[in-house]
Amino acid sequence: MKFKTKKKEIRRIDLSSYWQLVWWRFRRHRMALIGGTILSLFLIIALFCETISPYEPHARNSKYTQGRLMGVHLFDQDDNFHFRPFVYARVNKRDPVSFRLNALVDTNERWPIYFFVKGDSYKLWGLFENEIHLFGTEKGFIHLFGTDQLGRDMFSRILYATRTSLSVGAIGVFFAFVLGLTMGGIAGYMGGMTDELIMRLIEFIRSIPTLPLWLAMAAALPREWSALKVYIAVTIILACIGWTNLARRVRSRLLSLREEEFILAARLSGCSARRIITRHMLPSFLSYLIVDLTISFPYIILAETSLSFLGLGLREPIISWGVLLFSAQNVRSIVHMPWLLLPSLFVVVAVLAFNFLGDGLRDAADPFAK
Amino acid sequence: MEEKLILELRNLSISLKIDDNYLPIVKDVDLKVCNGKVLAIVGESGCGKSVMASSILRLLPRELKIVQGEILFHAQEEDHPVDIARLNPKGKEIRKIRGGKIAMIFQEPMSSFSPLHTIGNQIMEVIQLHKNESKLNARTRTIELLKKVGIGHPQKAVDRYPHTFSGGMRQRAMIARALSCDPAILIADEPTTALDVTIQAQVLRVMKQLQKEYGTGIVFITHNLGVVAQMADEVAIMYMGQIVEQGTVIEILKTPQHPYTKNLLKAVPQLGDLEAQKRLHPIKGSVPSLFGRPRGCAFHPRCQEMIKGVCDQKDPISRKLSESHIISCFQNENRSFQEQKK
Amino acid sequence: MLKLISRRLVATMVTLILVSIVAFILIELPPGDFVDSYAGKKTQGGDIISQEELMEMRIRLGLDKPVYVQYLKWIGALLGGDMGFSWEYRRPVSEVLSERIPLTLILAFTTLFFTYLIAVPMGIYSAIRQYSLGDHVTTIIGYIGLALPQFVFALILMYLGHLWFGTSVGGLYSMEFEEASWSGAKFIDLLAHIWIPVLVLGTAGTAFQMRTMRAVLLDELNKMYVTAARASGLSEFKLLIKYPVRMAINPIVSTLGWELSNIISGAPIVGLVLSLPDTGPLFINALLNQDMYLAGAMILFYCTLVILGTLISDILLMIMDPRIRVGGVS
Repeated sequence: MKFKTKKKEIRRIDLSSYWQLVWWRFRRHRMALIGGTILSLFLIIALFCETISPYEPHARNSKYTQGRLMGVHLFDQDDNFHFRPFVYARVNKRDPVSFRLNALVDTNERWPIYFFVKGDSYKLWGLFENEIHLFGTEKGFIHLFGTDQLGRDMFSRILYATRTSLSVGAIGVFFAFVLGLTMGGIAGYMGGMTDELIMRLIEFIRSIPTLPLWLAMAAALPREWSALKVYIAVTIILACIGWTNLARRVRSRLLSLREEEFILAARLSGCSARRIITRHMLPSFLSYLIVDLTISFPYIILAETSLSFLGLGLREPIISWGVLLFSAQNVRSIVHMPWLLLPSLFVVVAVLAFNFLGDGLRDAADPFAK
Repeated sequence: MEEKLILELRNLSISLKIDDNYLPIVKDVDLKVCNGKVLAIVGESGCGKSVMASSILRLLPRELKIVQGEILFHAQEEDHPVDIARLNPKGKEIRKIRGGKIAMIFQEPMSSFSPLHTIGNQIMEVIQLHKNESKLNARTRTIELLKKVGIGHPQKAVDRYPHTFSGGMRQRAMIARALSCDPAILIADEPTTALDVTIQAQVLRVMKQLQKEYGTGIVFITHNLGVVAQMADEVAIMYMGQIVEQGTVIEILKTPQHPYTKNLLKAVPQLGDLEAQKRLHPIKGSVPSLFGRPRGCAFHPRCQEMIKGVCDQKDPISRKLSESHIISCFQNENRSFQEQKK
Repeated sequence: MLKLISRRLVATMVTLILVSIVAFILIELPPGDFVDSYAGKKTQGGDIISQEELMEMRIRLGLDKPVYVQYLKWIGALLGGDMGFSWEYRRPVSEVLSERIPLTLILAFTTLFFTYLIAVPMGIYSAIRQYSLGDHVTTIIGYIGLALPQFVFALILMYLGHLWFGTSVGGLYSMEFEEASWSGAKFIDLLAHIWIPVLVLGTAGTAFQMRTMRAVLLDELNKMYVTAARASGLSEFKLLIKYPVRMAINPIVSTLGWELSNIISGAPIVGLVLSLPDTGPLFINALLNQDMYLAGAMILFYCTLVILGTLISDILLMIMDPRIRVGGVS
């Protein structure tokens, strides 16, 4: 008994020094840290979007359609400082020439912004009833990112879309990961005919241009399906095409590992195949897997965004960044409402953040590299 | 062949620049190379011998700077020597010298040739560069050279790619390329370390042969004392960037004076040791990292004959024991010359 | 080497056949067929169609036969040059395609050309002048190309075009040249307009190739054969081009097919956004309307283009790398 605990202790120390090395190298990679911070922010947004956003994503503000971004001020036009930030009131005036209702800034009235304010009620994660929003106004309204043609608050919609886009990414990556790991694992471990077959399959999939494939598969989804079903189907489609890279990595790693001596030693001491794979082979390329995961995320997110932009992916009432960009499909809308392009900023930042993080992880995971 | 001094390193010091600090890699090296002779530079891995060799042709990366000293090359045509250390490392003069007057071969024959060009192409380009020959003449010369270094079917070999050659053949092809323009000096940086012992013998034989024929001076970097015994006329022993002892091969191998040299020789296992059940004699301790250079003599922490208060405080100065035998140690000051001869 | 090439050709043929099967399956995937969506549209419009009429349509269009028969008929016709009939446009598919394919090809190859034209020198520059301003610019472009979705880029460019130039910059020809026959002037007009699609389609690829070039070159620059060449007296520039760059070109060439694949992937969406008269919008609409022959032919077209591209890049690599070509140690 004593002997056993001693072994465990020593192993923990060994393990900790490897991970300590990894963490230390990671910290030195500034961009990776920035990426990680941004992604954590996104995660918080995704988790608490109901609370952070001032409005419900489908709520329409008929008083402020196609509205521009509303600027937050601390100083009013007379240069007085107000402790509480505010937005100027908007008043609707009918344009005498075009008879269109325009929302004009009224600098005489201020709508102060309050924090942790009571707003529309919502259910956090569909479970907990709540009314507190992170910020909002008591009279009037605040649309930080403007509104769309129907008067829906872009800021709130983008926040809710973050949750959808990230979750689609996560689930897609997860499926791709499972599929890739299984296929690559089988190919790498079995070798021979199985390996050949799987490799041919992978090559075949890779030789087809991906977008037409996605488009075709997405177009195959019946129109009548509920938005939720479409959501799941789209993630599966994305995963089905994305697993090939991971499978190749896993397979090549396994193939080279098979010849390594410590595997031979394990085999000679009588370990079963499963034990060899899980306890001996897997930990050595765990780091590569983590990096691959992080790098796969942005591709899935970009793919979903492209699909939904075309109208072939997710649809209303489920909103993702791509779905939001669907309204920006033609140039005319953008000319009038350029803020409809704001979701793409989030896409770009998310993709960059994942890439930086992945770069940092890759450098850190190889503590023996120069 | 009369003995002529062709290359001289005087007071050469090279340091690694890290931010604003300079870490010495090679310190105060004085060496002489004569035509027709082989000078072997011996030392453990990391002692700076490769850095020193690369500096002769100014092949060092930006961070390694020559902070002091001269590299005097006595070219045949001119009366006064060229100080290579002062030349522009990217300029025309050094390029004329490289390959043309001083050639270098490297440790890894496997990767010293580009895999995408034929052997012939890579040798011919040197000839065409320095001798301005026509393509046909260069090709003829290349075939001649390949024959000289012992590569079979040279007419076919010229058009083959490096990956179809074995390691030994590639090394010989490298020698052919190096000697293609009759250089005055050949610098060989551990050319046989990566080769099998049998191939090693062949390559060394080729080098010695060509040296006899062309009268090239060879600077031979190695850590293998057996090769030294076979090839060298003169030997310099290097430790942590400094030459601790140098002399003729007889002087160094038969009557070494520096404690480090003595230990090196003792550490070489002899034939018959196994039967006699003799133990190995490694040098105690290990080479300190460059950041922890010992005060005074760099070898003193590992030296059995260390004099406390002297060796760990002051830098030893070089002294001549004979015309050719120079040593950098405090020990011999106390003993008479007769005793040392034992 | 001939043996290698012929093996590759056989593999390509097999792939093409498999791709055609996949293409056919994809077209058949959506439940219902053209007759259904036709009927759906008619009923939406208020017309009434009887079941017999629908059945008749089916028989006429051959949609009542089992799937594999339809496939074989399709392939048979294709090999004979008949790509079928587009129900949406009421014209033979070959006609519809021949109007638009040349443009897709021009776009694809122009983009490919410019991608390498820019990526290779910039990649080389940022490798030999590491951490210089040029290197940082390259890196930034790299990241933007990576993260910015192509259609967003297209939208932004169009918005800016509108902001700065007032007119709509969509489409590929100015109004005057739209219907005109080919001439030198039309060609120049095309060039003036084509830079937006080329820019949009090419940025991601350029970024990737730049980074690849830089990374591979950095690796090669430290290798022994570069030092050996320098020690022979070659000038820096000459030895740079002859040795490490030449070595780095190989992985670049080997990704030619993949690069083409990406460009083809991006073309439909960019074409849609920029209202280009090429095959992109055609394809998307064909999918949405289940215009089977048209969509199938297009998938086959895209895939064939990519597979041919991959074949060419593989053959090029074989030619350029003697280790593959000659092989073995004597």
